[in-house]
Amino acid sequence: MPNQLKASLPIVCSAVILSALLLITPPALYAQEIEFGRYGTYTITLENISMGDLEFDGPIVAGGGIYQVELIDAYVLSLLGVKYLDVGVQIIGDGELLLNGNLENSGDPEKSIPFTLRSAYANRAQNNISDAVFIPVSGTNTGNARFPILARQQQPPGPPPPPPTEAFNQSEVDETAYLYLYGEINVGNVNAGNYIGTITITVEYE
Amino acid sequence: MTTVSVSPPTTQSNMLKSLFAILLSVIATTGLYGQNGNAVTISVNATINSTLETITIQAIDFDEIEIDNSVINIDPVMSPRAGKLVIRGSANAEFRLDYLRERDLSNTDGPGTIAFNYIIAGNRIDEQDTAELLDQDVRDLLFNEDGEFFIWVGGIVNLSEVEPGSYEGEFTVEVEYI
Repeated sequence: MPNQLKASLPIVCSAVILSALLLITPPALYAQEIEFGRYGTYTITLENISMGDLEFDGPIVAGGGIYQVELIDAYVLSLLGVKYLDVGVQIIGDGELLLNGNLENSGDPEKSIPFTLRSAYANRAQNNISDAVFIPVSGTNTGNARFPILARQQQPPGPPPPPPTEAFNQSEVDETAYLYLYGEINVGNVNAGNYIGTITITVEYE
Repeated sequence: MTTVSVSPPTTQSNMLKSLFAILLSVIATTGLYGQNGNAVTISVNATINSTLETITIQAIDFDEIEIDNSVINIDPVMSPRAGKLVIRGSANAEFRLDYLRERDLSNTDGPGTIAFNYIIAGNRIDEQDTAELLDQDVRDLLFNEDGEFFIWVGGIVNLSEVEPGSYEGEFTVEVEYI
């Protein structure tokens, strides 16, 4: 019996150290899923389809209240990537538009306009707002979504994709999804002028 | 796909080797993450116009006016009797002006009305004699660099079948940004 205790000591020690190591491993190792898109050299391209900026068209008058850009007039971006991979989208918008974009005007009721960002995506291979799925956006104008580039159309997930090799030609499995940005501003008794804010969209495979 | 296999160590040396292998596997796994992302920043813009104001500078002056064959004619471009308005808005902004060309003036002393036909002229500078006749009911116009536009109001009225009395009426102009 004492010999058995001595023999088991290194195993107990290694189990303790292994447990400690597992606690400091990267978060991806915790997940009960395999994020195929994280392995390999897949590319993803996010491009503006709409020209210019997300513009609240006039005439907009000081004290005029709510002005909207509807989904049908949304700013559109295309997302070109591997159709069977999931993509994570993070959208971060300013909470207010500032007179001349000057950060010193933040919080000034005469020089800033509250901005509420809304967003949606379509992943049925068409730029069609009737396919749009709304992306929840928080009160701080931050939204996150995860979806496959091409919707699985209520089918069960297929087998894992083959790992990319040198012979892999991504263009053969590429598809385009679409992102829509829109929202509203609440115009109080502000100074006349040009009010500017920004929205940053980040996408990556998951 | 990375496989990590761990065998029970039989000695302390083997245990350390196994731990080293695990550590390497963890590092290697982390290194496999691709930077397969993309980011775009877009601007959000709104141009806010200042509130529109219409300010009457002077009313149409009928005092001791000359009547020609029962007709009073006040030329909005040439007559100093023309009324004058200034419209204030955003500098260089486009706006639409709409007015009713014919309005009735009411007799304040009794029954009867007079049909007054307004004629107006406008200018981006405060200069009546170079003002342009605005002979359409609706016109798209432009504020000047100070956000002003000047209007002179005249008109024609026929007094041949009018009851004696004092007549009053309004000139209505509607202005909106376009």
